[in-house]
Amino acid sequence: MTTLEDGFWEQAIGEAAGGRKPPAQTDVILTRLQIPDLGPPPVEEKPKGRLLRLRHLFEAAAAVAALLAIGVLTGLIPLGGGNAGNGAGGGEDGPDTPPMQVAAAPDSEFRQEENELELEHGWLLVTTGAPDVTCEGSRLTKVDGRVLVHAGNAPTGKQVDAVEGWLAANKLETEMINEAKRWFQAAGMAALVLTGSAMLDGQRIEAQDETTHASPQWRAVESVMDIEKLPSDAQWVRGERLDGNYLEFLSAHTAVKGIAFTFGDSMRPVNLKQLASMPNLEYLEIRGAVWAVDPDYSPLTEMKALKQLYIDYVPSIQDEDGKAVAIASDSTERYHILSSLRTLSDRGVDIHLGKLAGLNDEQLAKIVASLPGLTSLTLRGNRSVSSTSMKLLAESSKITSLNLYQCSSVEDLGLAYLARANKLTALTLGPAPTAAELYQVAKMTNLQELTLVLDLDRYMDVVKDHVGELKTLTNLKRLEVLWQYNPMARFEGKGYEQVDAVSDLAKACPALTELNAYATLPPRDVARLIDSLQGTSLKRLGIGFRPSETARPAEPEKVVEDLKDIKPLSGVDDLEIRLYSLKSGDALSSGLDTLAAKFPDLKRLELTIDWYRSSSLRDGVPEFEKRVEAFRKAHPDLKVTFEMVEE
Amino acid sequence: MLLTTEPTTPTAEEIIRTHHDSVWRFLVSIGCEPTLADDLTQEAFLSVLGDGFEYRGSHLTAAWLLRVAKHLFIDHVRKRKAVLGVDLEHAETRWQEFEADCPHEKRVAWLRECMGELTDRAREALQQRYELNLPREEMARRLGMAPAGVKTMLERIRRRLRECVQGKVNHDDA
Repeated sequence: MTTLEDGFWEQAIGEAAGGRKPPAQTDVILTRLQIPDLGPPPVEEKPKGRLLRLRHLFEAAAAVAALLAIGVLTGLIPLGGGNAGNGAGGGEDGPDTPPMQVAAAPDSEFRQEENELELEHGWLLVTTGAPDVTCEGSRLTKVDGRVLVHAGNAPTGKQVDAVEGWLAANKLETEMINEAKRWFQAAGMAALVLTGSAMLDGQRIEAQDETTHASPQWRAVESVMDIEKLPSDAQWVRGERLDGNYLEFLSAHTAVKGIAFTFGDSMRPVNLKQLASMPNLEYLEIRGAVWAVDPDYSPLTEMKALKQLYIDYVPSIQDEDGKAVAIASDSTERYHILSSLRTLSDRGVDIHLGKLAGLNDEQLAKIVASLPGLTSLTLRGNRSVSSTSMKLLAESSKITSLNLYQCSSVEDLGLAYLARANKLTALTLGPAPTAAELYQVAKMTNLQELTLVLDLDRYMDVVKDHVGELKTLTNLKRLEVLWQYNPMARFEGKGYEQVDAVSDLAKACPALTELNAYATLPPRDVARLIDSLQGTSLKRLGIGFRPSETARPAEPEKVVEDLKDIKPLSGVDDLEIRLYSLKSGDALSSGLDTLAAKFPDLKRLELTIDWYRSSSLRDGVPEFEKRVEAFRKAHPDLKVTFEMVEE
Repeated sequence: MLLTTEPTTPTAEEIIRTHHDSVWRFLVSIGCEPTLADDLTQEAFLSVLGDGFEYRGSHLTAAWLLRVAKHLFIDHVRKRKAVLGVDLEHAETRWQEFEADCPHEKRVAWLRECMGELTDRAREALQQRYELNLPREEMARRLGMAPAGVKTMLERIRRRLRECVQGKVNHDDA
């Protein structure tokens, strides 16, 4: 069975051919309706409370033990009774050791007082929950994230070099630390906010937004003509679903620094060899490639300038009919995939690995152990990897980005390990997060990107009920929530709770610049969402939209009526409207002008249609394309695109 | 419980008789085993017709029942850590459209007419698959062909039946 309609027909054919028919059970249901529901058995409160307390004690002990282990592994906690971070104050118990939220560089001197640390000389790395840090009358408080502190002035290059090993052990880049402009200078100390925020002498200081750095200007190519017409100084090029042989033409552009060549078709090792001749290629993304022959990653090792690689661990290969089939996960050794990636990792290349669906805990542990350069993992669809692997990832890797969508064996225990390490900056979760799992997510205060993919609207209700907890994610820059909007919400007596939950969370994240709320929202909910986002700092907004709440096409007047009173939302310059149906005669055409007019700073309008979910509901596409063309002509200053997207 | 005072509000029994078969067929068509569909259909009615039910018309009641049934099925699948064979987003809406396109009784009657136009061998395959519920290997043995051949043969028969019924639907519409 491949589509819903196939299933509908299969049932009808089965019944017509003598298969099972619906049973007669009206009387059974009527009888059961008369029997009162006895409800769950009564709970004895006292024993339950006692058990909970014992459990908390156990968890606390486990948390302390694990944090100590993490500290030792990462250098956050000095080994050897405080020698590495020797405190000057000492006392009867010997030299001070910093609390577990603080790491001291070798030869640093500090004194631990009640609820504060007084730094006398050297460096401290201070993380969330640390006590106040003082130095020569200056005070650092309320650290939420990671802050590097240097006694006196911002460090000189020589001072940085002197603690290079300690910085490396704590995954701190000397290049960034050497940039004087990144330091906040107070009277007695200098502070560099690595992530999150803190208060320095009463002033709020925040991590510098990485997006303020010049972002690459990507140039899209769809043909050899596009490639040949690239300017000689083009540095970032992307193409999707192109034949691997296009890379030969691309390799002639030696100034190119980054290539995103996703879902490439008919890939061959020779294509990668051609890229190896590009002297400046630092960034390569070849996720989703389908190989025409046996995959071979060894040419990647010849790319001397490579710094970032996005690639599948279990690639796909074309079968005899030309269909893409993933190779067996246990045959990756035959293709020397891990050994090629290991060579790159040893060279310091950051590896972002996708397509690991068939792997188990043991296989994943092997990959993590082999690739110290692994920074992101897409485990989407993996049902074998368990919470045990999350412990490993939390404690023994530098992974900061994880996709756990449909990882049904990873439960709140796994997320608890990740939350305790608090290293993740990007997380994807779904399709049925529980309250216990969201509780852990709320503790991941360094998250900058959170994607929640929910398959039923009632899981959105779970999120809704925990928005209060999730408001701790104040470093979030990008939030994406996909859920099945309940078209029966109003019938069931519900109002706008779900869209309100999304906007509540968005408003609680001061750093949020991108929000995508992808659900089949009817016009009234779209209006409600936009109105409730007033006062946010959003630059990009994505909205899922279904003009009609029923199977019938929407009435144009009704759509415009629902959208016309939206208050203008300034700041948003990039708007995506994702459609889940485009039936002939549908009314988005009229709603389009009304909606776009509500964004006074708009520069780009992306109209997308979810190809899979709109199946059988898109006979109005040709009609809509004409409407988009007319809209484009009427708004020459606006960049308008219309694309199919596949989740 | 169900309101019965308003003359336009049907009784619980009427609602069950009106919607029961559609809910059951919907569950089977989205991949639910028939015996499980028996139970889940009951549960769907108990859930919807329990306390707080307010009748708002036949179409909305049907949509609600289908949605509850779908959720019960998804819960069942999830508890067993199994995988759904098909994306069920908007499945209930699509089912209602499918039924509105051609009522079930008429579709089944036309399917039977169309089956009469098939070869004896094709009808035998249908009987083995749907009435006798034989596994593909056993069908292959009885039909004297490879299991892959049985799959292809059934796909071809299904396609032909769909085209045949669709032709009748279109002719009926005209």
